[in-house]
Amino acid sequence: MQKKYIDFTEEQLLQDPYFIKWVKHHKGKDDAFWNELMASNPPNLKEIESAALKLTIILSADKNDTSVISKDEVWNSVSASIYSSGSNIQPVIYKWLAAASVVVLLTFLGIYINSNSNTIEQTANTEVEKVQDVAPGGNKAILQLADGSTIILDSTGNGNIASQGQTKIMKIDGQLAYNAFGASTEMLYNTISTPRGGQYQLVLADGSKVWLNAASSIRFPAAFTGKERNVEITGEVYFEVAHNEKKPFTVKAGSMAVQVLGTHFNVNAYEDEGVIKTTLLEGSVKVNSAGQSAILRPGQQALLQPENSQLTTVDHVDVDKAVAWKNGYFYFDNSTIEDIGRQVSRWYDVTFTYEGKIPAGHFMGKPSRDLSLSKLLKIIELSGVNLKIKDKNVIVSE
Amino acid sequence: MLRPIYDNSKLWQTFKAGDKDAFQQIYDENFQALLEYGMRLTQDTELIKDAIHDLFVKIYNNKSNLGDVKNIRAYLFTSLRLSFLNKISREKKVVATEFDEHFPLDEYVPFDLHFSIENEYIKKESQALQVKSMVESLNQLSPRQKEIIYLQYYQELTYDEIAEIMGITVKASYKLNARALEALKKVLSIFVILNINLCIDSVALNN
Repeated sequence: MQKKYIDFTEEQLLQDPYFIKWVKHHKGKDDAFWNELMASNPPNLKEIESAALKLTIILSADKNDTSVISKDEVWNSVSASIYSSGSNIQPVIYKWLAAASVVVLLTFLGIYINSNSNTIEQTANTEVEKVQDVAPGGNKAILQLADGSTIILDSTGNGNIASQGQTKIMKIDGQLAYNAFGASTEMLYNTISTPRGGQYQLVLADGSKVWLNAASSIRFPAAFTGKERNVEITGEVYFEVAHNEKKPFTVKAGSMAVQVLGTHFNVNAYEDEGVIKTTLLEGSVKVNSAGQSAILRPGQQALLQPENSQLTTVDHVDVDKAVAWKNGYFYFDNSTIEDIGRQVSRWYDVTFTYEGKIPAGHFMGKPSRDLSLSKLLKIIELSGVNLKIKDKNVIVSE
Repeated sequence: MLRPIYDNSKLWQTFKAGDKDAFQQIYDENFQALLEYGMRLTQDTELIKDAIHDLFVKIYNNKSNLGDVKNIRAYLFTSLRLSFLNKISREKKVVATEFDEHFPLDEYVPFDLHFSIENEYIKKESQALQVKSMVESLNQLSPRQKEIIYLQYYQELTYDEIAEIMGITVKASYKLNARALEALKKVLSIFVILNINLCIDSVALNN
């Protein structure tokens, strides 16, 4: 403590945490220290008094009335969200047409979060089965910089992790932000890819926000120089594009190009889905493909079937369904077990195999993406289909 | 866990391991500060409630993926601020045509810090002008400058922590070129207004 209190200036005091604490909290035992300092040397007295005055003024800003928000009320909502594995999850209804209709509500089952895989080993016994489980996906992705070098984002610490020209790349948990610290001249392309079982969020240099689902990627410039903003994606990506009339934003997904001015939309271009879908939530986009184009309004969806290059538009789609993944849950709506299989296998990085006849029927529900695989499958099983986990494979039978 | 854990690192580790009491202790110790900070960024109480709720749910859900944290409050502030900017810019549909190169995400977000002249500060007539001038200067600061003042004096955070929270890099491992250095000086130049010399030595820079 004695180190710097000789010949100090007012300026230094105002940046000294110990001094700040004393003026703010007036701790009795510190008074002796400061009083002695003031008494020992008249110039000290002047500096300290002047600094204390300035500090008092700085600390005198109008206070807000914080009683408007109750600490307990917010805590209760946090607890409720955690113990029901995710917020904003609607109660789940399951219907299996092939069998008698059985409607089950999820909430009373008491599902809770378990992000670690749970493997309970039991001694070898032909009558008792090993209980296997798989953890749900998480924030995993690989960033490839313009020079080809790669950074594995899962294991990198938070903070600024790299720079590309005049742009700094900052990471906080499952999100990357590109901050331009100056005007760039060259287009440095980066690619972020998520593995199966991964997801990631990104903020581009122009402020546009991007959510990547599992097994997806986006290729984009670190800074948007030039007259346009162009990115390329694979898999499933949700966008909230920053408005800029002077620089149109275009997303290329396979043979579909989505041109936007400023808007919120989801593009699903998984190859194994057989169709590329763009769903518009807000704003306006123009979808182009093989000479055809369609202008979408919010609530509409453009579908492109790559095999016959047919572009169609659908009105009044359920946009919640298109972006449920980004909001943390699966949305099964009249889905076949195969539809479910594809989505589940991407998020948990497992395969689905069908023993015997593929169970028919349609499935409805909105379970959280945070559940471990065994819990999710238990829910689906309630409707009469049989699901067993073996290593990273799900065996489906009737 | 019967008693509170006093060591920040240990508290964080215990929470990461899944201890619900540790999680609640983190909430109890930081809620008020987060609320206070939130109310400086927006008047929308629903938005603040949502942001704080989402923050704690998110860290709990991701606890096993989180790194080590030295100052829990600084970490929570960093996450909260990012979440706020996303929510506020979405609500207001911020038009981002020209980005402030130093603060690309938060150009349009105000900061509520208002000073008024209290006569009790003016003990001598000669001080009256100085006090008035200082209050005026403080009120005329930009939102980001006010935010830095708030984080340093009201929340007692260090330069490094403030830089982390506001997304400015001061890590020695990155060479700050002349432009970035200018930006940093401009942001910290509040102290020039208050007649203080900037101690860049106290911030680890590598030029």
